[in-house]
Amino acid sequence: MTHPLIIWIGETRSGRISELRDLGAAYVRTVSNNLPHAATAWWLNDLEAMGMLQLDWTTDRWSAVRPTITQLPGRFAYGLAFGSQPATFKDKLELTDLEVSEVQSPTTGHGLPMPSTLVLQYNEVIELEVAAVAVGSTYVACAAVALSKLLEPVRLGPAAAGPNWAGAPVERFNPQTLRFAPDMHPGAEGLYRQKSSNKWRHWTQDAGFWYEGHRNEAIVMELDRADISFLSWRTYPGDPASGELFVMSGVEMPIMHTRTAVLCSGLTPRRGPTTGNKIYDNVSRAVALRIADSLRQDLSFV
Amino acid sequence: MIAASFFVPSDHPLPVILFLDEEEMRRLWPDEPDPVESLTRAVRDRLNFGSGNPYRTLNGDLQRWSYSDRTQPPPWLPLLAVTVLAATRMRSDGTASASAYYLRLAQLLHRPEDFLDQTELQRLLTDGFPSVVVAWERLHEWISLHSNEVGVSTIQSHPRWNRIGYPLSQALIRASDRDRLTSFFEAVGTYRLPTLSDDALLKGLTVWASRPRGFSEAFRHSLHRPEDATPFGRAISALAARWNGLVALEGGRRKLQIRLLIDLDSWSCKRVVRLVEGLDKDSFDLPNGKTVHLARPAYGDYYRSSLDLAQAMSLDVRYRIQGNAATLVQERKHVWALREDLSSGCWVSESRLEPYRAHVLVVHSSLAAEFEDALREVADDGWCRLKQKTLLIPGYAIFTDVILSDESRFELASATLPNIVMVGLRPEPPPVPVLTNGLPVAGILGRNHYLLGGEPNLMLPVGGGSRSVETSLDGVAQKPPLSATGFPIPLHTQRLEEGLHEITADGVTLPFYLHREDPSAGMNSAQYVELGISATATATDSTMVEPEVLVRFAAGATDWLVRPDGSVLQVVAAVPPLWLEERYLPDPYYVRVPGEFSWHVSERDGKFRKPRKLGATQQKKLAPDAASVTFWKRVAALEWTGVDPEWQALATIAPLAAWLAER
Repeated sequence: MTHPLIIWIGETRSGRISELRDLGAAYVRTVSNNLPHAATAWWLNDLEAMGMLQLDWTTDRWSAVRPTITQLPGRFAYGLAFGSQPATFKDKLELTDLEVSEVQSPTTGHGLPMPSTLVLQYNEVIELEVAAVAVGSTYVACAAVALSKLLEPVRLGPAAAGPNWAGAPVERFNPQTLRFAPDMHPGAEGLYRQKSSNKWRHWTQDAGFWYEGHRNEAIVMELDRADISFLSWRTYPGDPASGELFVMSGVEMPIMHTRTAVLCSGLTPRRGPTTGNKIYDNVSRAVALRIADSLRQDLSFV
Repeated sequence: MIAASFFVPSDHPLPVILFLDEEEMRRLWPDEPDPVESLTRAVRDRLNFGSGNPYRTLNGDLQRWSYSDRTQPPPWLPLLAVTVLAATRMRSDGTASASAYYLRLAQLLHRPEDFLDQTELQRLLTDGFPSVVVAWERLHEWISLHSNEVGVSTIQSHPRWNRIGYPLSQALIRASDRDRLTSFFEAVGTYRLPTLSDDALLKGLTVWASRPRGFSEAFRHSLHRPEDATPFGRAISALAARWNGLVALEGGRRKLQIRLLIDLDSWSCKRVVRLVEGLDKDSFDLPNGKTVHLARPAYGDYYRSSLDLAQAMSLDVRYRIQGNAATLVQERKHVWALREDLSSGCWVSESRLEPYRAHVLVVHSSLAAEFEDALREVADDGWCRLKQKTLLIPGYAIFTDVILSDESRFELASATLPNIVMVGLRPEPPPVPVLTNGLPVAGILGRNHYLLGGEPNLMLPVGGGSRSVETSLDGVAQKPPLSATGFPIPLHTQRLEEGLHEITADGVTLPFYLHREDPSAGMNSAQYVELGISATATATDSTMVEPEVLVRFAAGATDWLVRPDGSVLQVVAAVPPLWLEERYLPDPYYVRVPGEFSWHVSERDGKFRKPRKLGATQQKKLAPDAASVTFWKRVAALEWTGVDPEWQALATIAPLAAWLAER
């Protein structure tokens, strides 16, 4: 049964991120305790990666993504329903010719619900298209491949004035440790962050100029500058075209890249038991290469 | 003088309550050295104790007033004021019970030099009191006639004491209490007030007033007297019905609450005043001799201040500074609870803690250690005490990320931890039962529509400690009664059905609707967003569908796909990858084979099955590769009944073509 919070997102379709976080936290805290304040943000990031909603943290707005039916990449004929899941969506889907299987993503813990990944089996591709019309959703041939073709190379953000050195403490990113630490010396090139209105802002100093950007893009750029590789790919036995994409622990890909990797299986990444690396399943070689290319990475094959 | 004090013409008149006690009289007539003596002597001098009915003159005056144009209030208001004054003095004091009204009236009007003793005076006042009742009724009629100018009448009889009920109805709420009540009305909420019965409002007020709110002792005493419940409830309801939405202090001045604002990023702390409706500016003379001017800013939620209030006012001192139209108030608190202000990203003090929400607590150093111990017991993990390398608020400790969500831990700790700490930490819900949180839908239909499974939480009012509340859900009493602790009581654990439900507690019935899906979906203007790949599904390179063939997946099977040029692709079933198995997904039905193919021939246990025609058109000029030779050699000899003639033609030519290619 789809969790009421997940249905509510699909029914409500848009709203304020802060309110959604409060709503989710209040729901979970009635049944379990010790939900960290930040957990609701991690939860929303996961939902965004799964293609369920879009977040605009700057304007504090979220919007539900239209329910969508697509194919998974790889040699086996699976379909996937992603996007928001309004109340009757799953029931309607089960009335079509498709066979629907529910799979749960690895949970972030803390009791915040993740949507079930609805994996579909079909006899002909046309069944996916017909079902999409029947349940009021959109059909896309293979969303992961399509998204991978839309990925653009990451770049520095627009030119900006840089941090306010007289304001809140400024921290500098260390690509070796993947952590930010206080640094009040504006001379060195690199990635800096500073809190403003309780939100982090990120700036990169490059060749004497400042550029403001999003956290994940800026970190990827910084790792590129430091020549640090954080992506690798391993083929599945007997299937050279599909495999697992590994992202080094501590590195977050930008949302478009994360979503591309997630929609290869419909599932959020697993964690490597020893390294803590994130492992995305069923990522085709072509998609992995496009992701790496866009992130300025030389994909290493393991 | 009395008429001028109580019947003040106004565009927005409040209900009239003719409350008078010694304190109120001193406030109203500060130049009078002994206002009680002055009033009672004046009244006594007009009463005629020699005739048997002391109110004889009153009867005549009332009759004359009845025949007048009645633009002025009825005569003998001072007598009515004294009857109220007597009512305020009704208390058990060893010489008389709390219900002894005429004794108090006689005590007020008796003088030692009187030829009558006090007992005889009391008898005369009692016997003639129906005349006073008539005077009260005339006053009620007059106020009702002029309610648009002076306000509605709150004069009413008492269910038990139909004579003295009139003065009693006016003795319940003094002006200062009336001002305090505006804070209660604000806590209840503008939209809830009209929906509440007298009884529900009084119950809520009783619980709310159990914490220090500044009500008079007489007011708090009356709250708990069963005989006062009906008139008290009516009077409160009358005030609630005419409340203008503004929180006032003494003399009807607007209350401007000073709040603590902390910016943890820039490590700064300020004192701010949130904007109130209808007040654009005011000035206040601070204790340090300076004057602060507050003015409404062009944008933002707080008044612009001409000087830094934090510099001018100590945090551990209570201030009440009167301006022209408002009173600037800073409470003296051991604990300041701050919540995040989303517009500024700063933390701003609020009047109460809310369960489930993150707070910053600013705690006086003298209690910091006790609070730290208490937070260890009752707060969710993740809170921390800030190390103030540079002191942000001298004399105070700061705790961040304080979230209270575990009710049972809180109640357990209440028994052992110091009361001052637990009272400071206990969340305070609104003064009447409310539904909060939940997953609301169909906002345009009302506030009480929720998604099935997303039922709201019930918040029951609570005073200084927890209490047991008789509650019923859909008419079924909850056993055992629910415990009001300040924490929400989830209703989504009750497994309710779709439709209308009602929960009743403290005399308040809260209906709510549960919907399987949003009933306003058709009216909902919110639209889904697209990922940017669907609208152009067939138009761009990114979404172009590459041709493929689905081949039934079966372990141990081999499939052969013939391309339009006669070359062949052998498809051997592979083991599905582990990630599918780990997620307990069923085996795939089909294997996807990219490319264009004309025929599909499956082989099971070494035997070929009848060829199946696929979409791609067979080319006339074949060019099979050398790898196809084996396949064609094997199938050329096979004969199927009813096979497609095109296949028969192909099977005749292709082996030769393949043989040639091999050569």
